[in-house]
Amino acid sequence: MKQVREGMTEHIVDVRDLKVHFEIRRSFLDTLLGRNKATVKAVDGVTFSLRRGEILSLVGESGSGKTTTGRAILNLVAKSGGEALFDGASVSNRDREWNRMFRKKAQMIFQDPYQSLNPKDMIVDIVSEPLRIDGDHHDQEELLARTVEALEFAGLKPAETYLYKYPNELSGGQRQRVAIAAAFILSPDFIVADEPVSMLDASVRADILNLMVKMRETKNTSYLFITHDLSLAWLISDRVAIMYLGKIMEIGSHRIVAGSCVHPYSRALVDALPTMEEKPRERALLKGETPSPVKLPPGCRFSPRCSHVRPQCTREEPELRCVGEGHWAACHFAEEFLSKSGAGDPVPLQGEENPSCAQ
Amino acid sequence: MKLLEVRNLKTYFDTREGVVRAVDDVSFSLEKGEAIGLVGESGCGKTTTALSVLQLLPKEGRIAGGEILLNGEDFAAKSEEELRKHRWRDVSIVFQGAMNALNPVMKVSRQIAEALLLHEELTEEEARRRVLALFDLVEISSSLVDCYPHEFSGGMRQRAMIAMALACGPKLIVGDEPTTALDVMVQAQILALLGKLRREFGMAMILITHDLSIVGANCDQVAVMYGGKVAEIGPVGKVLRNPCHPYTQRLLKAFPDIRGEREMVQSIPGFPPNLVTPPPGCRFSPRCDAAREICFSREPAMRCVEPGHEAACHFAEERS
Amino acid sequence: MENAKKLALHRKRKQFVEALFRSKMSLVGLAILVFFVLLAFVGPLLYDYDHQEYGAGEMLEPPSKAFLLGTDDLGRDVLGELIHGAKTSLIVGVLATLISMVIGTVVGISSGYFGGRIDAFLMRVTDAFLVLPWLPLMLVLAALLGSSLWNIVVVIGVTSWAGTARLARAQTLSVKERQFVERARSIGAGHVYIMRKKILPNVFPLIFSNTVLVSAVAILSETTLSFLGMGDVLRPSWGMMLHYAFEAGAVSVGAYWFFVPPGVCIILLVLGFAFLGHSFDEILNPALRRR
Repeated sequence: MKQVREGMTEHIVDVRDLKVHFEIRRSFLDTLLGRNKATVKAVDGVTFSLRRGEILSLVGESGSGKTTTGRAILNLVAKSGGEALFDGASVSNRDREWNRMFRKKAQMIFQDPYQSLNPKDMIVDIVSEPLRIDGDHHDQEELLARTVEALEFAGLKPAETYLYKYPNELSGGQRQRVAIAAAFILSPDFIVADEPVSMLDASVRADILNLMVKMRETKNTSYLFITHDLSLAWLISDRVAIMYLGKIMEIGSHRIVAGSCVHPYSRALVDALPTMEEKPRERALLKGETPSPVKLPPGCRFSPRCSHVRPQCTREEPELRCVGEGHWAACHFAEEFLSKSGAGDPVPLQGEENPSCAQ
Repeated sequence: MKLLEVRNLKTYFDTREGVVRAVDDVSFSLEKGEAIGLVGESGCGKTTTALSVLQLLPKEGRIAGGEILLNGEDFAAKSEEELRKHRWRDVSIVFQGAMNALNPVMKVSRQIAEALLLHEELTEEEARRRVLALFDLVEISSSLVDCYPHEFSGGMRQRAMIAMALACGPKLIVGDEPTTALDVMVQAQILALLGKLRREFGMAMILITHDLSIVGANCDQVAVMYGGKVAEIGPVGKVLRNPCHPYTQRLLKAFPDIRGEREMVQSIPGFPPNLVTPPPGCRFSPRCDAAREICFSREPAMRCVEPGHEAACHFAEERS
Repeated sequence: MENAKKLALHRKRKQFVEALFRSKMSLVGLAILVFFVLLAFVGPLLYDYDHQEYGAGEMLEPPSKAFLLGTDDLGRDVLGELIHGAKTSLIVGVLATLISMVIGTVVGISSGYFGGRIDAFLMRVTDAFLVLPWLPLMLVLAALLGSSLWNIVVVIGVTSWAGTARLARAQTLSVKERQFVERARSIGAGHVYIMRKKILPNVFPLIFSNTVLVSAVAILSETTLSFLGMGDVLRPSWGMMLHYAFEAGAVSVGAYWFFVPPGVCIILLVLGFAFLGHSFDEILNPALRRR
């Protein structure tokens, strides 16, 4: 999968200690009394990188900051700290030429095909739009030919029957294909796919996923696949990162969601996954729900809900540490859980000098 | 006697395009305390089936044939007034996204109490005590008794809706995608709660979902629906492990199995049938890769492949 | 291929027209408007009348064969005055509305889209226009600019856009949160492009149906201004007719033919616009349709 041409960085996306904090407006009374504004730490120090042609899944519950991370990488939301690099340059740099290139090379696919297409635009306009505003001149015939090509790639054949329709004349699956065609038309190097299949039926979902994988195979596209569905993350990604309250709790190969995870939160998520097994094992479900990211607990942010919590957990916030080949976890006692998970012997901790620990 | 028997149910919708046969000859039955999962893609008739059982169809819809017997009584023959009482006491429903249906300016506990007072002769004090008991049942802390819906999280609100559905101790509860909009963890909690309540009170359940894996762990029976008909029905383990209908087989391949091999999911080519003018013969035949001549002309009857396990395919036995 | 696109647009327009003709309310509204447009622009060609010719008949003559709707206090034919006055009311109604729509839409969309300080500033201005008593404002402006027809159009236009701006802003706020706007941003679209291509088409239907209602208000404003003596004395208008009827004491002497016809015409025209505005709203904004 790794095809690094000369003059290119190995990583297409590099996220370093990314932070996105939102200030929320308080009530009028709070303002009058001069109370402090509350800050939502939607993304609170996230670090990872994405190789060319790699699919990385960002998994988490709502409020985990996974979508905000994706939006911040595309510079659709201002970051409060840290850095997101695309092709080695910061996504928030203001260079016009660079921005034009960035908007062509990095695309987003949204969750809700009913919301992400303008109801007043025809399909042909939606799909060709990225071309029309990319700053280069394309004549009508070229626009049309490329639109048809993109639609057919996305499985809308014959494209002519769809060109002059409006989104409300298509089914949910067809709309998501249109969105994919619009993302594909510029042959981007990187796509943030935000829950692209969560509103679709199983069969249509399978089609869309295959399409994304096909695009990776033909164009070496890298994906940041944002999902709440562990089984989908396991299915299509090379690596998986599990987020909780704005931080990555664990990152590693896709196998971590199939059971080789070490972080208690990952374990709880994996256990909560419904399976087709007739008699499910007794499993310990977490109590309660993800608390609000306004008031984070001291120490490990998962500690109030963790069943293995120890005194150290409420005092010190654990850093993401290497626990195995390409496998990192943010838990003080990761090694202990590692031996229990049967994922293999822990790698002696040498931090980043250990080649097998390179992210 | 079975708790619920649905026999040859037909529910049609009158629309401008013609009569939509949303549910066409569906039969299944439920014992006391049993749970059945209705699964299928959108538009396969699973929700319409459940709404027919509750007699809660929108005004374009009508039951065009068949019987719905609850405790042996014909449901369709009852008056609207009788039905209203019946609905709450014998059957109740938890909708998808029901948590957004709470009145935002009224305390949650008050809303449940009002529902109770409407259906039973109770004093205010008794109603309040019942609400507290219900909160306890669905594991909502009693400290939240004086809270408004916006102070509840999504999962808590869905619990409150379940409490409301349980208020009059129904014998049958219908869950229409009750966990679809919720997070994985909350979904697991809600399903575990429904399972616990079912075991404790011997309540039967119809669980409507598009997610096969939810059915596996939470139901005894499963009915796979396609194009307004039941394609395959039987005990969960048998249907999911030994599917005999090509549709069930294809549908299973569209779901990743995290406990099995990492194989890419496969879609089913083609589109679900138009229910105004369904295809002749088997409704799945245009999309079926194993269809033979007879499939395009004759509609298959339910065939028994093993005790309790039936499939509507001419070649069901060959496939088992 | 461009043809296919035109066909698709045509199909959409046809659907709209069909829906328009299905509703009784819009048919009535359309009929009224068509009638008045004909009256205003074809009527004067067929019915000869000179606004400045006094004493064609007796003063305040009741309806007769010679003067179907009688005469006014200067002996002018009321029917002639009515027909020739229709144009003024329509022109004022349509043009003033156009001005108000353009100002209101631009202010509302920019305010909603940019938010923050721009929003705060534009909305304070809007609020000022909204809460200022519009009648005195119009009177002052009309007095300053002088009472010609075009000045009246401008005066009504610049005093009546605040409601449209509020509406456009509210709708923009909800449209800009929709994902297709973020999608446009993610492919590098600029602010003007997004406002023009994404926000405007989604805000316009609501503004448009509201605008038709605004024109009813504009017509009434013209009447009011004229009635209060700020009208253009050189042009006949229904408002001026009411003004003269009032001054001549037509009500107290029982000269109903002098004030009833312009009054009825104004009410009918306003109703016509209101009906049409309401049915546009139903067709263009289907979310409201079910209520």
